[in-house]
Amino acid sequence: MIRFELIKRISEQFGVEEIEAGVFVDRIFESMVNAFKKGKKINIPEFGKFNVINKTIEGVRQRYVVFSPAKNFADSINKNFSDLEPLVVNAFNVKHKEILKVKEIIPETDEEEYLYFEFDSQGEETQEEESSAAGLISDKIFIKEEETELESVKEDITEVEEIPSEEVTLDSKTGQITSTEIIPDFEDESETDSSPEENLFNEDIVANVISQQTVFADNPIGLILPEGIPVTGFTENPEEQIVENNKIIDEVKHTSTPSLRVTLKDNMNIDNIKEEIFDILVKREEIIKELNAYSIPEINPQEIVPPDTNPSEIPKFEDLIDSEEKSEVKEEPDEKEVRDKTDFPKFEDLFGSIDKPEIPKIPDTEKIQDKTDFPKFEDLFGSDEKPLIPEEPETKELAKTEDDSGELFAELEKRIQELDELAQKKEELKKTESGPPMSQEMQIFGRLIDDAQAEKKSTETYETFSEIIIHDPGTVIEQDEPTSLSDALDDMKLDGIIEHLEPEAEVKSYDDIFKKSDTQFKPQFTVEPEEKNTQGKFFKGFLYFFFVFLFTAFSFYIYKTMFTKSSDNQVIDTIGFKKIDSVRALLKQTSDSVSKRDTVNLSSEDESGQIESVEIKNLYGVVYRRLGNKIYIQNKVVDDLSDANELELKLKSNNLNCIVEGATKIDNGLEYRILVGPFKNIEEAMEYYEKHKVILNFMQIMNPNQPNLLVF
Amino acid sequence: MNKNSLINKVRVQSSFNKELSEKMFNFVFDEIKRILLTDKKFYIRELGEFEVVHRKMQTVPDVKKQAEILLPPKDKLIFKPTKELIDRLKD
Repeated sequence: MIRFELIKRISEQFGVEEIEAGVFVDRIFESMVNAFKKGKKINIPEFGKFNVINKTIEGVRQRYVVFSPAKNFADSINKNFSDLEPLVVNAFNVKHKEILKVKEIIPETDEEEYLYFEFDSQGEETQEEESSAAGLISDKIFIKEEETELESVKEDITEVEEIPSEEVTLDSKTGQITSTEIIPDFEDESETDSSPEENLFNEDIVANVISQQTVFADNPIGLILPEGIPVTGFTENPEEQIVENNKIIDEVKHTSTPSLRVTLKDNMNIDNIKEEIFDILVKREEIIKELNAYSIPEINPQEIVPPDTNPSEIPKFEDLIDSEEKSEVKEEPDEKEVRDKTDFPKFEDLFGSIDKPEIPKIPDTEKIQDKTDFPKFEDLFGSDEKPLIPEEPETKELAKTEDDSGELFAELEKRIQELDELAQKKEELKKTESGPPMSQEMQIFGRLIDDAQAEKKSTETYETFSEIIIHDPGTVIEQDEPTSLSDALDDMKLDGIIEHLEPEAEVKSYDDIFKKSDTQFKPQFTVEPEEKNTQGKFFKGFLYFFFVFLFTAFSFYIYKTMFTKSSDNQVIDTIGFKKIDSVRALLKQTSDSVSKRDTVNLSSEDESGQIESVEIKNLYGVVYRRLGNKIYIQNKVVDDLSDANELELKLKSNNLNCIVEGATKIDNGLEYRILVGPFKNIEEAMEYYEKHKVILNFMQIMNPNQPNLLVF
Repeated sequence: MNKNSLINKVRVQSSFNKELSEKMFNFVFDEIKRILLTDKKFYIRELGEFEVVHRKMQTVPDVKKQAEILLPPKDKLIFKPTKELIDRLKD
């Protein structure tokens, strides 16, 4: 739509001519541009907001207009996609630097929602899969709007490989697990996932399996989920499918890594659960690795001691035999036979050793049933070393007493004691074969060395052997036998076994050094002068000057306020003082009669015979004069008589009685005083002045020709 | 600057009264809104061009949640000022 159509619509709507409507529209935009020029914002409600910003365009910083639409207007524009919300695709775990994929699957029932957690230990390799997965999810989510993207999904389905998986079933009562290989069918799996029969792995069952510590191939042991997350099913390498209206919409391609499906309720937060799930998956792998390390040997139940016996009384197998003389393990029987016999106790309960010992070779079961339940000494140690073995009891008697367990264990204890004795003798023989016995001194010395090695870390031993460095104590035994301790030490010195830590130079006492220090000794160090704290001094100086300045300013202020009034009076009311000064100056020059008049402070006659007024008080610039017995207020002093007469007229027009007095200046000129009055006392004059202060002062201002008069 | 101050400025230069000028002002911007919703483009010679742009969906890393988030598609209104307006702002 162009501008012309807009103008036409306005004219039709409001019955206005097109020219006027066009002018109106143009004015709107022009005024907007003018506002932008001034840098103003424009807010038009329900449309948007224009703002002027500074922006770099082609490397040049200049002003730019930005528009942000109103919320309702923006929502109406984004009407088609307003229902969609952002979705979490991948959650990263920074600690392990691995990726925990989160895949959402459309639930088959409306009540439940599934989350699919897939654990990938190879972070870099799974990046390509992430992108593909993200693409698939996006297709799945927005499928209602863009159905054309289904074709790309169908192409991906052809790439899916068929991987056989195991279906694991577990009976809660017996604890048995059976595994069957299944080649997954795409159509069937969607149904089997939701069936309750296969949701076998509950928390209790898993906990039982862990407590029994049984091992089965590819079994997800170690899944201890947090509270509130029920596990509905476990799938090993599945390939799943999402079907709607008999059409394959999406198909999730899984890797060979294990996976876990979890149902989520409304109260649960996905973000809080992710880390917990991740830790669980990590633990699960660790537990599986540990359990796979164990290969529990299979033992016939007839050979095992009944559980009534205390396992502490039975010696460990490791104590009896050396590691070198372990016999080969017998071949294990089939798994089926073992799983059938569930009552017999375990290997660990009997022997208590976590390590995996190998069981000695055992003869066939038929022979043992005929003779004894225990292996012979010959089978254990070989035929070469069998000294002082007591005669074996008759097998037939033992066969008879199989049922009596007490007699059987009594014999067993005897056999164990014999074995202990044999082991001790064997150790003594080994010692004799190693070499001739050492002398007592060497034995003591060797013991010392051993003790030093054993307690090397402790500080006390370090102090005792601080002067000796032992390089190779094992070589001491191989040397020839010394006769005495001193010889042995000499030999060791020659061989470099022991080095005495002697000081390189002679140690001198402090007094010797101190005596020489007057002439020769020089101190090895010099005391550096302390750094001057210039900053503090500067600060102190600054403070000092600051306070001095404050004091001077304060004193000046006091001087101005307290003592300037008198000085101001002198300056302002120059006439009276000058007059007095001039009179005093004249008095010095002229006769004494004038001085007498001044000192008497009474009205007196001049030389010409006229009476002249005398100043009696100067209160804040207002001069009070006495003429005869009456007192006047001096309003003004004027040089010209005409000015004096004008002022007199003005004052009289304002009902102020006044007179004009002529007087002589210092330089023999004439001046005329305008005196308001008369008054009886000074007090009366002062009251009058206060009442008519404004008019009197105004009259002083009226004549600008008089420079000596100042405004109060 | 408010809407009323803008209307007053325009009214002084024209012969319309206040009510009519306010109605006409509202009608102008309502009409621009209607055109943008239908045609998704409107050009003003003095100011510039209003245009509705479709943004595709995209994945964005979220640092706080330590996750990658898929943003949905969106229709967005943008404004491109003319060169004349930018040149006038320089002065």
